[in-house]
Amino acid sequence: MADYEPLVWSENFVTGVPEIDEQHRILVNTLNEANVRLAENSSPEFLEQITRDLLSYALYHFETEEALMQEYAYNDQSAEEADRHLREHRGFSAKVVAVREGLKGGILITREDLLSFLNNWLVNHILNTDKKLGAFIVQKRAGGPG
Amino acid sequence: MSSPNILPSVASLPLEGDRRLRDILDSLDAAVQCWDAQGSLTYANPASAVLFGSTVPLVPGLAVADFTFDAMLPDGRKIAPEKLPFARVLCERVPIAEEILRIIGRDGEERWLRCSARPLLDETSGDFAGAVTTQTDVSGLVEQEQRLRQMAHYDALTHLPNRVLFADRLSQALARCQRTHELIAVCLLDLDGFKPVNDRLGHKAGDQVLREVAQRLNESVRGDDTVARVGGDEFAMVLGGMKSLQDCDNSLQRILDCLARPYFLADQIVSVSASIGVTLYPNDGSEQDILLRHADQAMYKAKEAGKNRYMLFDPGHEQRVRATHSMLSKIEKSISANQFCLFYQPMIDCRRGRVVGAEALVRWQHPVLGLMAPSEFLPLIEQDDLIVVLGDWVLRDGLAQAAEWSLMGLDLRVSVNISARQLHRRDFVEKLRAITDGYPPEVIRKIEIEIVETAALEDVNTVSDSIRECRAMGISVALDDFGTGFSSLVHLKRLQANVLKIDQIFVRGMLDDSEDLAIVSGVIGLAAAFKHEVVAEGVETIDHILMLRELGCDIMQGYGFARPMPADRIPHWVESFRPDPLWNIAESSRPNRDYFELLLAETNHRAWLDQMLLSSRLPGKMADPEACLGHEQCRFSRWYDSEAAMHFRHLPCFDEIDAVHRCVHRKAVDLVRAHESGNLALVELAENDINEASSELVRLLRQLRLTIAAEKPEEAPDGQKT
Repeated sequence: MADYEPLVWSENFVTGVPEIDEQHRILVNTLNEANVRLAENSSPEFLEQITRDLLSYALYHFETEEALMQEYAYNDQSAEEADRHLREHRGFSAKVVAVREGLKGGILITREDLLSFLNNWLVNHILNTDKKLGAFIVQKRAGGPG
Repeated sequence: MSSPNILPSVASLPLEGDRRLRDILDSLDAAVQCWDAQGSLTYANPASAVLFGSTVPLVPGLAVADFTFDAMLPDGRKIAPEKLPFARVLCERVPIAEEILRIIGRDGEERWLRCSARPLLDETSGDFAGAVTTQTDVSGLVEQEQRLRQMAHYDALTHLPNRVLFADRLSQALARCQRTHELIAVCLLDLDGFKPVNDRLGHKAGDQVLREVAQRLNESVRGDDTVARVGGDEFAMVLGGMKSLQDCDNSLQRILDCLARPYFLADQIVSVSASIGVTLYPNDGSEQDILLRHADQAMYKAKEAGKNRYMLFDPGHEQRVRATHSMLSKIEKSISANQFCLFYQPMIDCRRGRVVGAEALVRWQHPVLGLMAPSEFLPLIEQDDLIVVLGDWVLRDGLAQAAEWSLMGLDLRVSVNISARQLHRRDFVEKLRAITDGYPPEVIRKIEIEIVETAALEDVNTVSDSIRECRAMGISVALDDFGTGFSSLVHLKRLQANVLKIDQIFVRGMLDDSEDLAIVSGVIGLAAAFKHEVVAEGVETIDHILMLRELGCDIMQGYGFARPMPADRIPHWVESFRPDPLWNIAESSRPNRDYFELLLAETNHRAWLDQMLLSSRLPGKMADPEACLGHEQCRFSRWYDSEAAMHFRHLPCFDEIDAVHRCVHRKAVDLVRAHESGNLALVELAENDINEASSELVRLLRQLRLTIAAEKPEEAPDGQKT
């Protein structure tokens, strides 16, 4: 089984919006913890717990980001990017729900699949999508031009 | 030693004033000295010699500058000679406040003195005339105080710091860490197996073990670290100077190993071990007492995990727990803010071609995230009483909806989901009665509650009582997600539900996965045997509908009919609902049944292939090779040669199907040979080949099916409609 390096938090991940960054750290922790613990235990119960944590994360983190988008009218500024952002969020939840549905029917997602999904999603989403939003909000907060 | 005659010179010092005064001073326990304005000793009473005799010869005319000795303040700081009260009073000529000094005599004897000094003024002129200095030996008092302090800060049995001193040391360590950026491990340690030692060998032996543990702990930590005893067999440690998690692991493992070595008591060998909970500062950046609580939580985890180990507290987990809490309170507020609503998904009786009911599915109209499906938020509350609050709301709202539709003349059963937690509450039936109270029986009879099979199985006795009471009220009961639990026939008999709902995961999979098909068919069989109604969820395509009908299930719901929709759209949907004539072709006669025959042939082929692939992965001879290999004997071939030949021969791809089917069987022969050879790589190759051939066969069958469907769409119904 491939061994995953823990995802190390770096300056590169910082969006510049403190509330978003703090929540991203938590997701990085969740991922790293899943990495370690799935190596010893990938029982349905544990997968159930991890996916529940992910749903909870999705709910409160996406709410934070999307509320900020509304507050700063991200959609008016870059409709396409805002739309892509929301779709990525919905895609995340849908995937987690699908994994849970599978669990119910006795299909256990493998550690590799779950970790690579989380890794890819997290890294891509933070580095691309969230950083754009972050830059936008930082500029708005600094009172910069619209 | 206190004999006054060792100081003849002092005794003869002249003291102005009367002899009686001198007698009084001579008899005092406190030491008294008089000095003249120039700072020469004029009088010292015998008690002075007791205090200072071994240090300084108290001779008349002794200059105060020579009256020196090693003196310290209580905090250990040395005092320079010119700062001693004797020197100061003569220099400053004002009273000197009382102070406690520690002096060490030449003989090394240590004394604590309470000292005071006052200037003397000339009676007539009022000029400064010298000073009187006094000292009282308070060594006894100070030692007693120290003993008390020791008792307040140290454990009497092990002499380790106690909880109070530990807290002090911890806060010092945390402050230090902020400068040095090192890691600090805050640990709580509880002995495993200590109580039996105490119980079996008595307290004396127990105390001996505790002292030994204390000693071993002290020996296994660095000098700067603190080990404290904070309870019966509970110890706390602050370990510093660590750079990495690895350092911490090493230290803790060393401690565990050291404590687990046998303890040699007088006539016994005893062994105990320790469970340690650890939290690392600053990774866990909590307040001091929270750090201890976290270490305590981790210690309990270490106990649970089997003792003789340490567990690291995970601040990330804590953060998530907090996040979950704030999530719960948010959902709670959303319930009272009416952010939840019910969507309804129609249930269709495909045989009779009618809408028979609708399942109420809760949605969260999240002000930011939009409409959310239950699968996204229910898992977060299903282990909390909030699910009961939400469940009660769903029941009330569903019932109100049933009443409204009933008034409109819409005859629909309204199915409402009941969570496990709600079902298992003692007041479940009572609450249900309260909620239905006031509704006419014909409305209550419209309600069906859906209980997840796994929840029903958690407590079959209580749940079967609840089901009986619901049915007595006229409410029907469905076992939902049926097939995911492990209901035995006995359970099913006891539970007395009205309806079994087949979990959608099996319905969705049944056309591709023979095991899912077996489960679906099994549930339908069970329902028939127990005279339960059966409903299939997750029905998406006409193929699902046909297969379910063939298997004996008529009532279905799924995207194949309608997605869940807001309640106000249901009446219109029901009104415009028209059954699809295709639904009945499975039970119709030729040629309408052709489509279904092909579907069945495809499914049979798939089941055969699954069987082959499964046995190729098992050791031993592959199951029944004759049946697997003989192309002519397989079920598909028999169908192909007889019925299919009769009905499909005229179609273009019919001959091609035969060729591909023969190819599949040749590949099956290869697979069996590969399996017999035991060469896994060959088996894998053969599996790929057979899968490829089989996909081609399925593709052709589907093509044939589509051709048929396109050929005679208008002929299909022939009077089967109801």
